[in-house]
Amino acid sequence: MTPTGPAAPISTPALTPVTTLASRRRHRRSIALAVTLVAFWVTATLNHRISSNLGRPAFFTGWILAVGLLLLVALGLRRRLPLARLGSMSLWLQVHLYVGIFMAAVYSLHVPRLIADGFLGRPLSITFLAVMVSGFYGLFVSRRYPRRLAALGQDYRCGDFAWYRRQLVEQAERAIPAELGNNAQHNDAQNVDTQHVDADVLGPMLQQRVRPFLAASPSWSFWLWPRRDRARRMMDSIRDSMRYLAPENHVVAETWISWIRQRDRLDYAWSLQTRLRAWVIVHAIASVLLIAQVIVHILNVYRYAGS
Amino acid sequence: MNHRSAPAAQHSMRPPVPDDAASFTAATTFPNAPRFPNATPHDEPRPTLSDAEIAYLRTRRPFRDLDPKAFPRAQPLDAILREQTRLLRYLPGDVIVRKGDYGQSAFLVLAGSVDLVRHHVAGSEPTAAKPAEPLTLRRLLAGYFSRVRSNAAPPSNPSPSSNAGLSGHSDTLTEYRSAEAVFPPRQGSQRLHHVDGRAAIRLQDFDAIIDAHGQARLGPGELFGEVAAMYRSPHATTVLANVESSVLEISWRGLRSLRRDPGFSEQLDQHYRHHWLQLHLRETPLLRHLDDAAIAAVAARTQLRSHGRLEWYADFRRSRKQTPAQQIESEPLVASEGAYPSELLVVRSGFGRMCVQHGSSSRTVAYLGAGHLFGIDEILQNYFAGGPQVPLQSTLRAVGMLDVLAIPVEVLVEHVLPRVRRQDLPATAQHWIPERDRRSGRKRWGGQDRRVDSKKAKRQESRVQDGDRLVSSDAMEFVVGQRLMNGRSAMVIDLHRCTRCDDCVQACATMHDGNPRFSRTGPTHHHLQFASACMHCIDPVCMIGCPTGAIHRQPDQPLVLIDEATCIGCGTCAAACPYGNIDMVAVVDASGAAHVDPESGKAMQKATKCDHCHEHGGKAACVAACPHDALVRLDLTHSRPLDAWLGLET
Repeated sequence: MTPTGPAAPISTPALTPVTTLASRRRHRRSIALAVTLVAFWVTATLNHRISSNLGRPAFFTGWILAVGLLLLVALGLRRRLPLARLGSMSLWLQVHLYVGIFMAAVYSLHVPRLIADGFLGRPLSITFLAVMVSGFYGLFVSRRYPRRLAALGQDYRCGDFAWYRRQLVEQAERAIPAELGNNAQHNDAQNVDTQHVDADVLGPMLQQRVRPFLAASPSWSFWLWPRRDRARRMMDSIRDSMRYLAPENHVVAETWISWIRQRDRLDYAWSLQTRLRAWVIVHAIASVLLIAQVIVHILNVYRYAGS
Repeated sequence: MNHRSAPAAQHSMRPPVPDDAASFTAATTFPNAPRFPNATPHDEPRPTLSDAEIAYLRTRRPFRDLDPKAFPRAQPLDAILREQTRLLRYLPGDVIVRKGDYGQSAFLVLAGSVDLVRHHVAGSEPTAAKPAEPLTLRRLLAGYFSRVRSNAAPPSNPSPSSNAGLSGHSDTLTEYRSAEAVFPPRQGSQRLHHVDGRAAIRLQDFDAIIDAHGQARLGPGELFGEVAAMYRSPHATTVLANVESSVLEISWRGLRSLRRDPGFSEQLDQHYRHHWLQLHLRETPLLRHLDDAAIAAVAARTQLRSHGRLEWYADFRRSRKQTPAQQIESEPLVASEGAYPSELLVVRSGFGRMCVQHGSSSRTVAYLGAGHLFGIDEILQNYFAGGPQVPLQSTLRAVGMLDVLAIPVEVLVEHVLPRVRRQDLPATAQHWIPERDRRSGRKRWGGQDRRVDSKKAKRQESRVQDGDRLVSSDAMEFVVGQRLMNGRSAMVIDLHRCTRCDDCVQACATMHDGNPRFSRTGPTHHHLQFASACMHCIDPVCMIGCPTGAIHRQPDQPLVLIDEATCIGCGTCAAACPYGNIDMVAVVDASGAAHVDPESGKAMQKATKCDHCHEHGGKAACVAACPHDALVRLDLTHSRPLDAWLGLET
């Protein structure tokens, strides 16, 4: 026998160094906040000095805003180039956030009111504010919505919501007792074994509530403001009706309740996920519009700077 | 060509694998590898040995020395030879065993001779490591446009949902590959060829390799690879056929059966003790500074023990559905809480679960992997603190398979503890050392900046005792229950931070010609999702049985990689992966036409999985692409990285 055995050392080193994520985040947040505050203090001081010396502080703050805007849109470029070793997206997003906060503060120096005057200045201000507000909204939803989605207990993929709904409807249709199914399709109450399925209670419930709820697509209002009252009311209503059912039919009602709950979760997840995506689109489109307006603004400023 | 957007975890689009444990065992162990439609004829299972061949083997060492009465009637020696061995022929230069590969068999030279090369042999792996390509503007833009194209192109699979296999569509996935990826230029020194219908890798300039690095030559009657096979660890050497040679391959199961013969078993144990035990003991921090005499004394008294089953993956599909309490109850007991700590257990390989009695059930407090010690705290407390003897504070159970080295406590007291350095002791054990010994020992043990903070140790221990680790204990039970602690680079997603933007999947697709190598689905525990991406396991059972060695570990890298050029698409690895993290895909060119194997004329299939972006420097694009720090790759073979990431570690 010859030594051709294992060469692996008993101790196996970790692939990646270990750091506590929470402490790293805290550390990073503290540094970023400090840098932002210092940067704004320097900018405000210089702005004041330029103003005291009868200079043009708006040029100074304007260029800071323009450069900051370029930094902000660079995030999108980094996202599209994962091959390039340009640092992690997480770092870029943090830079994006704090530059954004800094720019909101500098905006207050550049435009000492909420919305600027003028034919071009006013839309520019509005777009800037729209980008800013959508940015803060994004910050809020990207922190809050993941927790809400996780609390649903099941993860859904954004592109497949229609498929999930279809699957649920098909699953439900397969599980509906044959008597109720025939009743629903042919409206022939005589064929229903009422003793067996309590069709006089379950039939209308299925026809008027459960089936329409499962078959319908969620509304725009639900998308904007996902109220889950309807599903809850429906589940309560079924629970209330259970006392009219034979004990062996309680399981049917419980199954329907579970479908409604699943569908409600699905719609809620759809609302949150699509809003998360819609927000990114709105923010990106508003940013592109802002860049176009800023370019026009700069050209105009330099055209009329001498007058 | 993103065809990998499976809808949800429960809708996995992995190729179907047998559900029942029995068929899974059969499918993943030698010699009955599962057959896939495009498996080439040379990959057919070989017939069992004939009576004449068995009679011939019984005349050869070591079989002629075996006592047939040592084997039960249900499995006589002849049956073991018939079912658990096979005869193989190798031509000069053929690679029999490759350094770093995972052993599932031992080999007995019957005729001819083989050479052992302990150095890494360039070209013995399917494909040499590809260096990271320089990043040019052209590559950047190509990556971007491939992503745009992949998003715009209609998928050839009807819908992502169809991959789930729930809607009756085909399960076959397609992925784009360039011709270069599927038919790369052959390495200068390597050639894939067939011997007796079996794929083999031949080194053409092996004479020069042996001249330069050859270490030993084995002739008829000599056995090699048995330790790697028994402990399922990587081979330490590459073995090449020197001349045309006949070799008997003995599966690890056969090897284990043959150990019923006391003489044979003793021979194997002595071999391990002689060649490997001292080396392995020295790799334990506690023993690394012992002199030769002391380590020999420790080795002489150390016992080798195995608990559980080596083929743990066969039971895994059943056990993962059990509750933690059921799982714990079903795991083989190694040491009991409350017993006297009579020996120190050093985990050699496999995993153990440490649990404590909690109410009327058991609670997992940690899991142990290779190199971890069990019983050390109690032994040190008894040694240093004196007073009444402290019993074991927790129970150790084998999770799947656990190999331990058991060192008797009296050997420790005599040879180890008087000489041990403080920094080699576990942090939790530091405060048992009396202050006087600490002061005097600082110089003797070279303490200085390596001094361990006893407050921290106490804090850690109190956390264990007062139940602060309940949260992590919960997660730990999930990790152990799902056998995720096998992963050296498991993809973990914090669902409290993940906005489901799928930038990770997109980044992965961009790095791989538009083919993402994972789906953002997988087992979920509270807000932690363990995504279905290759975990680059410490016990990569997927590597067992690959007929061409296409799935391999590169030297000095913990990553498990698949060489597409050598992969024959047999699907053995995909069926063997207990986590379903390897996919079989039909490879197509840019026009969507299937690449065709020039030899068989059939459409090619390839195994595909996460490669940790090793061609781009090994930094996983998925991690870098996550804007919210929600996705990390963690080494779960130790519980500390997960604890630290969850912020539970001080």
